[in-house]
Amino acid sequence: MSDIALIEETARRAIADGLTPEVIESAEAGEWSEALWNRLEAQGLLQPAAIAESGDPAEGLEIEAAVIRAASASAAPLPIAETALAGWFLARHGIEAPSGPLSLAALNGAEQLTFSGGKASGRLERVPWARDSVGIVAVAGDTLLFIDPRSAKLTRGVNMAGEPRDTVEFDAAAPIASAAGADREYMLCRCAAVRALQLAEAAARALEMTVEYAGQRKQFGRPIGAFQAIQHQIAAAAGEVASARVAAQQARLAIAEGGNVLFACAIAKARANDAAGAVARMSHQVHGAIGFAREYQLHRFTRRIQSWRGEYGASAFWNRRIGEMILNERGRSVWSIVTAAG
Amino acid sequence: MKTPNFDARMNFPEMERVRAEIREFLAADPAMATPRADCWSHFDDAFSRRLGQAGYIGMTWPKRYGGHERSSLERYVVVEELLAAGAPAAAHWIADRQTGPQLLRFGTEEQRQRILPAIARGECYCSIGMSEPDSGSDLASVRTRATRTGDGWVINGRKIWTTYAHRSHYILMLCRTSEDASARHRGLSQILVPLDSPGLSIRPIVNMAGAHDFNEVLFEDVHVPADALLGQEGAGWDQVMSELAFERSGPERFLSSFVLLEAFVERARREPSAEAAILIGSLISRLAPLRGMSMSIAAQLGRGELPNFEAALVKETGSLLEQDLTEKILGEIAPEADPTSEDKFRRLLAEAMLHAPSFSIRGGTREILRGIIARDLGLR
Ligand SMILES: Cc1cc2nc3c(=O)[nH]c(=O)nc-3n(C[C@H](O)[C@H](O)[C@H](O)COP(=O)(O)OP(=O)(O)OC[C@H]3O[C@@H](n4cnc5c(N)ncnc54)[C@H](O)[C@@H]3O)c2cc1C
Repeated sequence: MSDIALIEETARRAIADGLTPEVIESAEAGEWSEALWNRLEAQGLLQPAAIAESGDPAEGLEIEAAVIRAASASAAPLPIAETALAGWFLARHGIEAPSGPLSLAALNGAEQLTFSGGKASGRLERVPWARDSVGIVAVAGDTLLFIDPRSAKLTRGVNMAGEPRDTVEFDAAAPIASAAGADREYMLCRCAAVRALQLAEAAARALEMTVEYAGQRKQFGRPIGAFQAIQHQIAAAAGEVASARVAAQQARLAIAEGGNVLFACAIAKARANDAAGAVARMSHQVHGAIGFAREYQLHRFTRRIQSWRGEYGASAFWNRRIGEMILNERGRSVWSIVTAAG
Repeated sequence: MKTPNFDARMNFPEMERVRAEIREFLAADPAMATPRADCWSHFDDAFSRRLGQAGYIGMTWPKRYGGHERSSLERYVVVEELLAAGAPAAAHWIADRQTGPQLLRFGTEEQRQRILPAIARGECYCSIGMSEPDSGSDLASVRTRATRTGDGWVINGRKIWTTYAHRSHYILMLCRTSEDASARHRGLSQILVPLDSPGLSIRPIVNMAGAHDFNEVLFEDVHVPADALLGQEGAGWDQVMSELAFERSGPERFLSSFVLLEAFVERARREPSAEAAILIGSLISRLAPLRGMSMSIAAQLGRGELPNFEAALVKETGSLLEQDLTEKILGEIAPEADPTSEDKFRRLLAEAMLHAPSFSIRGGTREILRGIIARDLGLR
């Protein structure tokens, strides 16, 4: 078994060393952080599942989670999660992933993509780092497509955190590879679980920054953290972070162990969306004006939180899915559904 | 910043075995004809005896004390199944959850032999003697006094909100045993007092749901022998803190009224709507991680750890969820609460709503729990 804590620490250190203020600024301006990417690639951190010593998929998922935790806790401006996910989907379909950044479609059912006669046509919106990636994983019907963004018309866009979210349009483009038997819903769940983890970890970092700040900032002759009104807001947020993290772990376990993946991932994303939203709000409140300032780092986490909440399913979308799943299982108690899901 | 330690990796075959067993037991038990909201405040001693006979009380305790030497996760499963079914579990609840474990941790061999087997049989019940009229959240300010006599202790003072003191056998008291003002915490001790002791009187207090669950207990020169002391004289405060980890971390902090959700889902299956589906999903997506957190604590308690920080997080997020459950069902979709109704949903909705204010008071108020969490985060 690999040492998960060590991998996480290695990833944290590699990111911290390479994520200089200049790198952060140029990434915000839409530039590709080549040096940081290469540093992580050299450490083998970008295809985390591939470094699992046992070859056990569960171990691969834990390593992936360790790297994503590190990336989210430092708001690394790179498609680390996307590359891991896309690589994992390609591997499942027997396609060898090239090295380099990978991306994926939003998988929300709004894509208009067709595949016929070996050619893909249509449009994908808000594709993370499409401009920089060597390939995009998408789904048309039940075909998994791996498409080269250079064969598409690309329109640049960004999310609120300045992360690229591009629109790509294909007109009878031959994909790099394709495979039958894609399960779009399963893929959506898998992506939602990863975004849930990213949200939980970004929220954990915002909470941590807030606790530190509340201990240092003095008003009325004492640290603001000495005021009960501040303590209670932070304490409530700590509960949100703890439950979002556990929900993300439960989703990962369901995927690794073949549990009720839809149920667990839906829960994880809905929980993380709401938890991270609450933590972002609290963190800004406790920071006062400094949190609103560009030079201060809090917004790097809260802007990501606000961007990620809507990706791979907002809360109402998943809560409705959970509710309908329960309502449709007539004759079964809610409790039996909850406990069977693990 | 301290990070709470939760690990949701809990998938042990023995848990599913005991789940099937307790479900079978409950399905056949007559008490389950009427599931209850806030079910662990409903007292049914016949039910608790049947449960004890079947081996579901004192599950983790050594066999020599009448226990069953099962894992803390097996016990967790039984507890959550009782709650999810709405079982009237009050009679044995406190003794099984905290008084028994306190005896195991701090009691003498004689105390354990005398009391634990009866608790495990579902025949001996305990109540908590912490709060006093002038000492609620500020528990260390308790004034009930135990004074040493030649052969034991004499107790004077009053305890309040003592749940089921009128139907229990013992009350585990937190009393002042030293007047040294510089030792506010070190002057406290825990004493286990039989509730039929001469000089002890119990006055009922009816709650807003119209039920007599809690009481005021008056102590006027109540004599108890020396061996009524639990643990060390002067160590009462530390002992109570360990008791609170058991008291706060369990699934009763988010499942006490789960049957209401069950009944709401039955109603929504008859009258489906998108609003109902979203509400159900939003409640389940909060509940599922709480289960993982509480199970993780059960495993930690089983290893002898005292996860007070984690327990406070579970109680705080759990009681919020429980209050939202009733609040949102009643306030947003189904206003038809009626405590006298034949209709299960209407009755449970009323029962849950009428108990909901207590969820963030009993076992430590929301404000106190948030204070504990803030302290562990390093803010105090
Ligand atoms: C259903 C039920 C059953 C109970 N059963 C038992 C039992 O069996 N045995 C037992 O000993 N006790 C029992 N209790 C009592 C319970 O432990 C106390 O109610 C609780 O500790 C709070 O004390 P209090 O009610 O005196 O409120 P108070 O302490 O007077 O608090 C009133 C309000 O002030 C707030 N407050 C107090 N101090 C602070 C502070 N420092 N900062 C911010 N806010 C503060 C509280 O949070 C609360 O909102 C029970 C209570 C209930 C509701």
